Amino acid sequence: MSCKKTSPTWAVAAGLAWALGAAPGCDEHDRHAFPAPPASVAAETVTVEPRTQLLPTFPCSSRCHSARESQPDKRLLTEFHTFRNTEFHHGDPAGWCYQCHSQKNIDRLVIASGELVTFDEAYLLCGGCHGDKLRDWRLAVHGKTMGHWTGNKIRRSCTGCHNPHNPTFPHLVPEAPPVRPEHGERM
Amino acid sequence: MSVFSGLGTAAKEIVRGGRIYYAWVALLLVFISLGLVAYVGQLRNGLGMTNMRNQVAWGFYISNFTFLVGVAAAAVLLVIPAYVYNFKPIKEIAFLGELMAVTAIVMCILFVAVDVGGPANLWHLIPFIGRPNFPVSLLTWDIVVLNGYLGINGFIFFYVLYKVSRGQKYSRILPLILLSIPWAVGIHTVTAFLYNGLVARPFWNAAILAPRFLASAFCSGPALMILVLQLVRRQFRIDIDGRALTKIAELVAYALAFNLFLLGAEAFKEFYGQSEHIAPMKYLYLGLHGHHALVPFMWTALTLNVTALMLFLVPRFRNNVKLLNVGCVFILCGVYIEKGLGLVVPGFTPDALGEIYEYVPSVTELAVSLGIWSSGALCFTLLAKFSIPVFIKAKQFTLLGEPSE
Amino acid sequence: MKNDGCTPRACPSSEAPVAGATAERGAPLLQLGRRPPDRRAILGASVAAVAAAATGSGCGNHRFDAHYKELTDEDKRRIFERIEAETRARTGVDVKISAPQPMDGVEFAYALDLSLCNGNRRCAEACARENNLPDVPKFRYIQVLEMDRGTLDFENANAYYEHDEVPVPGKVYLPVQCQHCANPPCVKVCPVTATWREPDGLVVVDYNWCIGCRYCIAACPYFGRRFNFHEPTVRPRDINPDQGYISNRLRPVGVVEKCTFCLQRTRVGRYPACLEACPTGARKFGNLGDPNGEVRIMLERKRVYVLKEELGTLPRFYYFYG
Repeated sequence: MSCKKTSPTWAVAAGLAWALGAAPGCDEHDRHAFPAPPASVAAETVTVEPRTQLLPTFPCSSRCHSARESQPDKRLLTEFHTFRNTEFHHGDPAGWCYQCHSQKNIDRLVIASGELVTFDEAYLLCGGCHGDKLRDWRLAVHGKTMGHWTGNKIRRSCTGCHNPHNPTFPHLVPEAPPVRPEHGERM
Repeated sequence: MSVFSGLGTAAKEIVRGGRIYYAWVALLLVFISLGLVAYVGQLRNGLGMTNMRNQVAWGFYISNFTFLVGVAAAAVLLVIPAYVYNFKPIKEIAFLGELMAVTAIVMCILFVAVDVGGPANLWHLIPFIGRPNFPVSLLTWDIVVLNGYLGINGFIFFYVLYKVSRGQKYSRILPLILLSIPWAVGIHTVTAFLYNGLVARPFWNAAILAPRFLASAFCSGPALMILVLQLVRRQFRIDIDGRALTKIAELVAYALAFNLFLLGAEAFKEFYGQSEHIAPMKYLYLGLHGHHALVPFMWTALTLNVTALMLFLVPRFRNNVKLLNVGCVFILCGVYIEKGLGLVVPGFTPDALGEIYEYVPSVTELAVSLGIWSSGALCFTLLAKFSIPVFIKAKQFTLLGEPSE
Repeated sequence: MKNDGCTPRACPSSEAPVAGATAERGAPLLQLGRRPPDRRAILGASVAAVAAAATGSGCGNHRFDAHYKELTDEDKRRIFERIEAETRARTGVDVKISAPQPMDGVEFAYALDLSLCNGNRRCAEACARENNLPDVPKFRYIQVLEMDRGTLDFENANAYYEHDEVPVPGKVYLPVQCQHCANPPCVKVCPVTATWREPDGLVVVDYNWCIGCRYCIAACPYFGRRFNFHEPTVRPRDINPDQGYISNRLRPVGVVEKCTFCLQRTRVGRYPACLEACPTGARKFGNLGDPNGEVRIMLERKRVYVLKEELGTLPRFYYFYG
């Protein structure tokens, strides 16, 4: 793309860059300008990776909770969820299941407005506190994107990477390092 | 055939010689065979046979190449006094300078050829058949100037030889001889720029590099010349004016002093500034993070160069042939270290991401390099054996070969 | 030798990415040797035959192939079929060689969130599998540098760390691979134009044209290139059969290779293998020309670093803290 071919729209968009770069020649301008918008790239469609189907005991209501009363007060869990007692490390230690899970419908999450959302829309819940991250995630600056860069994108939801009950990203075993170069006829 | 009759008789000289001559040639042939064997191994197994790796991508071969470009360029040190100032004692031996330049360039080309991973692809460098990246890549410039220098000096050498053998004047190619002077500066400058232009390597990316290249070349080349001239004098029993040797030694002294000055300037900049770019210099002279493979070599080189400077600066010492020779050997070793491994390896140590891989040449590299040096020595020996009798003979004919003064 | 590592950028828009990508920056100013390919091929073949005979190498007839940019579609078909047949004979694996072309209006760029990278090296391994990197000798296109928190000091970085788990407290991780510079120093030094920057910004190597002089390795400030000092051996079951001619096909010994942003994937719309493998989501890839693409948005919203900015290489690989 040469200076002459730069379309007016993009000249405006790149204007700030040019001004700040204060580049003198045409060549320099080109280097600091955005390329022309793509002709061959399809419109973007973003799908959020569904989560519900990955939950082993879903739907919670029909599996277990239909036969139980919800207990809104914090206590030590004694049956199926006992491991959450020690695992839970998220936000206020006084927090309890029904801060996020709906007491009315255990198959849904409840967001700040009181609306119920599915587990596939967990990001709406997370964003209630982590608004900056939600904003970045929506822009694909935070979080993992898969699929095709040409437009058909699949975005992993918050809970795809973070355990909502203990959201610090887990430690990982690293892959083996490359081999240090050595002297000798054969490495 | 009459054209070649003079040279034909001279050619017979090549196969005639004493026991020492035959032993010398045989020794060189043995070394060349060793080098060939090692090179075939390298061709079959890849450059992994060397100790070069991705972290230190160039090593002993390119070090030798760089040193030898300097030797080749230094041939002008004989041409300048001979033809510009008409200093007769050197004019008589100027052809030996050209011969040395030719030999050195041949070795340079061999060293580059053994360094590439795909020698069968070298035709890609040839204009009109391949795609040489001229004039953007400095390597293509180097190929042009080196081959040009080889052509110029080769032509001068054989033309002068031919004319002298026929008892004719060769003043017609004086312009070409004069052209070889800037060309010699050119080959060394271009070779320096080859390194100099790389922003990735701060050790090389300093403007002082090209001047340092020239200064060190004007030490090592003439030092080698002084030694070779004495060997020639003894072997062929020809009269080489002692004033020629001391004149060359004097030039070497100036160049050496300047070279050390430039080194000092560089060391000051790095060690006083203490920027991150000090790392290669530290690696060379102090060691870096426990790696000091080159430290003893670099201090040896520095000691040798300083000692040689003392010997050459004092006229009483440099007029003493023994001390002169000692000084020459010191300079050769000193510059060989400093401008060989001492120049190439620190460019890569630490590498672009700070990794330190300690490079030392492998057996293969040493053997191949020995082979190439021996090829150069053989080339020089045979050409000298072939040409010197021609000059000796011509001189008996009242120096008809000399251009009118 | 290290530089500042990353140089912070106060204002992302001031380093807005480049256009003019379609003009090849590395193209020679003066191209010697413009002749019809047929004649050149004959001349080249004869010269190469002499060279091959003289050096005793050049067993494969690929030594006579023309430069990638001069190949006609017919040449490509013939050469690809030959390579496929050779690979089948040598390894027993059926591979498919392709040469996807750059798309109009696309200039690739990469972004990496340093606050997320935890040094797990999944990227380097996925890259190795995708791009048919050998395990012996084991080198990788991506060097993940481990540094002390509070530094970006290459000289004290360590690419060979081994831990039970990462991240290690007090350490930060900086993955480095080819930065696909808009002003690539490696391209201009190549004596035979065997490496160049494609219109979509990918810096590639023609493995059949490379002479193996390693000048580009000397010129690269990012350790972005690798030379095959040894015959690269990939176990047949590890071979990725989906191969690009100027990207991940099996390389011969004695040539330089590098990251191509997985050209064989990205030119057909997929993401690079390193991005797909990254479990932390630290890696972003996209088209600088797409105003809604991840990389553009990142550039406009985040503060961005490029490595060794002072060298003027204009990397298309941006680091940021998300």
